[in-house]
Amino acid sequence: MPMPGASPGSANQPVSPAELARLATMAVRARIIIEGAYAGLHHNPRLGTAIEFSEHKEYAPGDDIRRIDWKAVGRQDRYYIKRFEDESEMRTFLLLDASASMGYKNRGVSKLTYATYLAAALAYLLGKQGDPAGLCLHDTAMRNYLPPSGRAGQVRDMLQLLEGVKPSGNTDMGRALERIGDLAERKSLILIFSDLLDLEPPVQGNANRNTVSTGPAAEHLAQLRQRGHDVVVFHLLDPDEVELPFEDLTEFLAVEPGDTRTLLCEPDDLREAFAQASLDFRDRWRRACVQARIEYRFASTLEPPGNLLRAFIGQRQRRSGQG
Amino acid sequence: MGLLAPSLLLGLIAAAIPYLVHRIGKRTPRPVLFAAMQLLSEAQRRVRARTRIREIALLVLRTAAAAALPFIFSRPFIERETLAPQVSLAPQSAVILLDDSASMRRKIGRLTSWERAIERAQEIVRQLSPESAVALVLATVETPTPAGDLTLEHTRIEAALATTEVSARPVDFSRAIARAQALLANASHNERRIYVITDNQASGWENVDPKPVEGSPTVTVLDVGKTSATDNRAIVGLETIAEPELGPGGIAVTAEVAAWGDSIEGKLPITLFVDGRAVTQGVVELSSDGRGRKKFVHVLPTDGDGAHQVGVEIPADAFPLDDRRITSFMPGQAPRILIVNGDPRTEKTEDETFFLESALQTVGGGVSIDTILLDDVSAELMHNRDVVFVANVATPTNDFARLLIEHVKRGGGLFLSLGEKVSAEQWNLELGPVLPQPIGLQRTASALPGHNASARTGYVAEGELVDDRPAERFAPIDRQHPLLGTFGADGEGLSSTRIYKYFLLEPAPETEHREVILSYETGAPALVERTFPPASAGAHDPGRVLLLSTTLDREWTDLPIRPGFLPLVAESVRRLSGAPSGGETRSVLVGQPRPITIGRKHLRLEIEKPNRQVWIARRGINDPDKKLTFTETDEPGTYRVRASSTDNTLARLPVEDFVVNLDPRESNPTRRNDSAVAANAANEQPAPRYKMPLWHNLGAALILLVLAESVFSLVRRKRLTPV
Repeated sequence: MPMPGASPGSANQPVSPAELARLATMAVRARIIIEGAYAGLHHNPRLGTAIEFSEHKEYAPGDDIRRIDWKAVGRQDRYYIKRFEDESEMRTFLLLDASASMGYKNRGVSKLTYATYLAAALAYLLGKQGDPAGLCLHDTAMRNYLPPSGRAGQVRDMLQLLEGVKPSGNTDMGRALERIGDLAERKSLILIFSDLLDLEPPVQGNANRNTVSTGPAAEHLAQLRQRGHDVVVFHLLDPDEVELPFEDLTEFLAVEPGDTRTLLCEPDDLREAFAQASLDFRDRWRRACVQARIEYRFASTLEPPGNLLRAFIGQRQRRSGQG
Repeated sequence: MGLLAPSLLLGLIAAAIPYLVHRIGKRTPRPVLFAAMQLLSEAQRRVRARTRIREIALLVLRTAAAAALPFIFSRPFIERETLAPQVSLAPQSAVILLDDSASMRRKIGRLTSWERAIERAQEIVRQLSPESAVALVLATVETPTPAGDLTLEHTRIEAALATTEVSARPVDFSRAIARAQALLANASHNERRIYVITDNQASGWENVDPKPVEGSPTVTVLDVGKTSATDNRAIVGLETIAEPELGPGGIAVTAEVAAWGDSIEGKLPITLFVDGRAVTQGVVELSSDGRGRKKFVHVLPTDGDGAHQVGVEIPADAFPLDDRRITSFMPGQAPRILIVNGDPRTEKTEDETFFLESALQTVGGGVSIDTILLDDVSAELMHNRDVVFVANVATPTNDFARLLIEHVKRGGGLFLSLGEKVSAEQWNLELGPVLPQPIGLQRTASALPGHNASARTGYVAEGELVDDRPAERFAPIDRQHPLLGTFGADGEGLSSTRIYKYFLLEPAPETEHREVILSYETGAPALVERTFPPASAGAHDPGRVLLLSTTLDREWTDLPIRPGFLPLVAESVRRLSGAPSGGETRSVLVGQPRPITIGRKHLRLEIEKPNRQVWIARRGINDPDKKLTFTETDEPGTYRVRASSTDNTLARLPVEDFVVNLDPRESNPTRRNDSAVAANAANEQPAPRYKMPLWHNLGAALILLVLAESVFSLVRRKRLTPV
């Protein structure tokens, strides 16, 4: 198995979700995704966290010269390196929304399947890095939970869980986040994979367009961040939930159990307004995340997961000074 | 609104079809489990109002389109009050006869009767069915017909109505209706109508037979003047004569004013104008019969070209055209006249020249007259004379004859009258060079007045031979001759003259310089003219000689006591003197012709009308005098004459100027009292109503509805179809 950090010019290119679905196991998919994500990344990528600067330490032979703070050198005329707060191993929680809405698909793979690919790839990467990672599948409650661990079979168990997950039930993201907040005793990396539908959405403030009033889910997200956790939201939507491509008279039925909403309409009549509503919906979540200093990533399920991860990992590297 | 075919409204059931299609024929929707219901709900909220409106609009459009068809087939109409008579919708041949006389210029409220008439005529044309043939005829005399043939092209009639103008000519409905009937005589339609649009003034209807002839076209009279007041004030007469007591330019102007209506009695301000400038104001008193006369006196300047425009005016009313009247007056240039009396008498009325002298006094302008006997004739007396009258002189002496011949050859005028004293032989001998024709034998047409004893005693004596032959009369006159232009067409004033005795004149070679002006009924010449052109062209006026084959007193004729004697003498003096003797120039009424002569001196004649248009006539350089008739007397006003001579210089001829005045009959607003007008007034029939079809409009609306629905749907589909 090729090590992470394959050299530039690798033949591994991001693979589409449909092609990934044809692969045999989640492990293979995870590896393929990560290899595709690594393309173009020069250095040994590390899924760093939101690393925060802690202190300066005078340079001693053997220290990583890449950490030399040259500004400090200019000021002090001495060599100092940066020390970051958390240089010990970072625990990662992968939180998947497995509610019924995540099971929607029209073209390509469902949102849940796409989320499992992302989660599997990240679990694989974390495992290779030796970082403990855990998995939580939820709907209205925590359905499955693997606590973060660096043991040998952790990745295998996570992939197995991801392989077998089925969408069902309604969504209560807030409860899941609250539970994760309880479980994450120290600062952790929390990666959330959800369509964020049927959550109480953030509401744009009237006085200041940059101010968003957040609902319970968003509040929990903000609380996690405030506790020092590094939170990343992967907002996944099917292309149909971006553009509404249907034609002819259609009766739309809600997928989540207990939701009796229906809508009979000519999609032609709603298409333009739907696209705008979808855009506004994503924009509200993005603003809420920005307001809470949470990283927000949007992808449609047609986009190769490797591209998403490449962008994600690459940005992390640049922030940590590793890029 | 009414419906011509109401049963077809059953088709309104079709209007329910779009709704039924909408409700019943709904498509089966495709069910889709969709996760982003919240986004759908939000989108629906945003478009709900717009979509609903669009759906309702589409439904309305489709329902209206479906409902329009049965409505169209049921042929709805509305009834409107119309200005025109109820026009049959059936195809017909129709003549619109417009009264374009001067009285139509009378204003009623905001519009004149003419404007109302045009509106009604246009309404008629609009209402006629497309298969109807129409013609347009005007009622005034000698006015060209705008559209004198029946035509199916109604636009032609409408165009003619738009450009036709009201005239000032007199109206003759008898001739106009006859012309309309002639147009309809060969019409192809069974229904034939004449629509007469008039202000129903009585003038012009005198000769119209009120009883319709069976089989003739139906005549419908549209009265556009029924709301007008019958008040009017007008100047109906104007006379300007010389007033010698005031001097050479003195005139007396007498205006006759008439009023009709409620307040015809009273005082009316009146103004005298000379050459466009108000010179005197006065007041004319109207009597209970609505008539009044006002006399002005004024002194005209005698310099300049001599002709002056003299007019009077009263305050304008609803019909201003008759509130002003003009004449053209030329102060006389005082011709110098010498009369040689060949038969003086102590009894004034029996004197040869008594009547002549009296007549010459009316020429005016300070005419100077000297009467002498033959023995007193001398070159000094003959000097500077414009006209010489030789009346019943027995034997002209050689010297006298020579003086006369020289006088004529100098351009002077000579009037020769015959009588009992005249020796034809001596006259022919001495005056032969100037005589228009040699003098022949005397002819007695009938007994001279008082010749029959029975005429004196009152009874016929035994054995008395009574000469009861009728007196000679003049033959019908030729008004084309300038000397006779003032007389009426029937020669009024001369036609009643009795001639008992006269000289026959010997035949003379035909020549362009000799003309018989008056003849007797027997054909014998009565008054002959001979012209003597100057030796070199333009040197002076031609000399003229007039020969009257009877007497100028009452011995052989009663001409001196006939009304025509004065104007005959005055015109003779004017012609013989070649200079205006002064007086009111010719005046005609609108529409009346004016005889014109292009004399030998002129090659081209121009007449400038009041509207500045110029009428031109020419004469060939070698042609004789050209007599014409000017008929374009369309407008009241002064018509100025210019002429160019052989050297092409254009000069005014004020002596030939004339004025045209409105026919006084147009001023009388009295309306025609025919049975149709009376019946309408008595029964107070409501205004006719016209069924205006609406299906054309509905048809157009249906097309627009369908187009709107199509465009609406197309735009909606294009906007929603993803690119």
